[in-house]
Amino acid sequence: MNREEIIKNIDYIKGIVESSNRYTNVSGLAGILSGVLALTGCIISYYLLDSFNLTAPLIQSKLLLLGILWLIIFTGAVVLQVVFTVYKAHKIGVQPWTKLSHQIVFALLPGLLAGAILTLYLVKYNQPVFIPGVWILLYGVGIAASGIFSIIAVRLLGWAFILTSTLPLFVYPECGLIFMALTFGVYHIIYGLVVAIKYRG
Amino acid sequence: MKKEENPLDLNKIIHERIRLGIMSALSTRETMTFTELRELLKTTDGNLSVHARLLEENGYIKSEKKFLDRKPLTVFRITATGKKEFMGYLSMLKGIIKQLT
Repeated sequence: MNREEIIKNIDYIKGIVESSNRYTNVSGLAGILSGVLALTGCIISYYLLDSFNLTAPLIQSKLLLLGILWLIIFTGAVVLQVVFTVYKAHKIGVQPWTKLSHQIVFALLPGLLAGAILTLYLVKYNQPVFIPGVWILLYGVGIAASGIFSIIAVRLLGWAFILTSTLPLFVYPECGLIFMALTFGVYHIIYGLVVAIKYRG
Repeated sequence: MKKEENPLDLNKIIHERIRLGIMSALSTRETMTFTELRELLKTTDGNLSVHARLLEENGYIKSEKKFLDRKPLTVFRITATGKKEFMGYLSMLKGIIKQLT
């Protein structure tokens, strides 16, 4: 065995180790249900406001109510994700919590935290109309980043959010809720269906 | 005197492209399904089965057959022996390359 052969072997091992470094135990069902949950949230918000528009005069009196509603929806989506991921891992017989899931969570956090901070900023300076765009953008940032450690569908979902966020931010700020329904609702459901079919569950 | 590494002493169970791939992948991921491994190593069902069986017969990996939505599913897991042998293989490669430089 010569030097070149050994180096080739080591490169091969390196390549395998690098590409096996992806978390494939993602739950499509959780994606679908999160999408349905988000759609429900949009519908309730619409009935609370009687508008798709989140401008300041409209929502001021309902800010707290909307805040609680979306906090519940966010928590619900996280719980769904955790429960279904653990369930799927258990069914297949792989570990649900690995070094990779750790990385996924930590890749997601900065985006979510930035979203939370900007939301508080917009509330403080009375610009709630941009909240949907900011949520869509920064959730997308988090998902696209965590997708680096997972399957391509996750990365695509993140990028779809990022690109779509430009519409409510620049073009149609008065349709914030519709874009929330499109991204957090419809995109999640499409993503969930693709994952459920391709990755069985 | 330092021990001389003989390339012929390289663990022959591991020293084959597909089996080396299986061991490398499982040493990072611990558990992987048959399909995941097949896609990662870009090989065929038959080829992967043959090499995985050889590794299993030697106690380097363990396979478990399950059913997911009534479809069969095989999950591979690296054993403690497998981890030890794979690490041994890597240090031996390192030893050989040191001798060559």
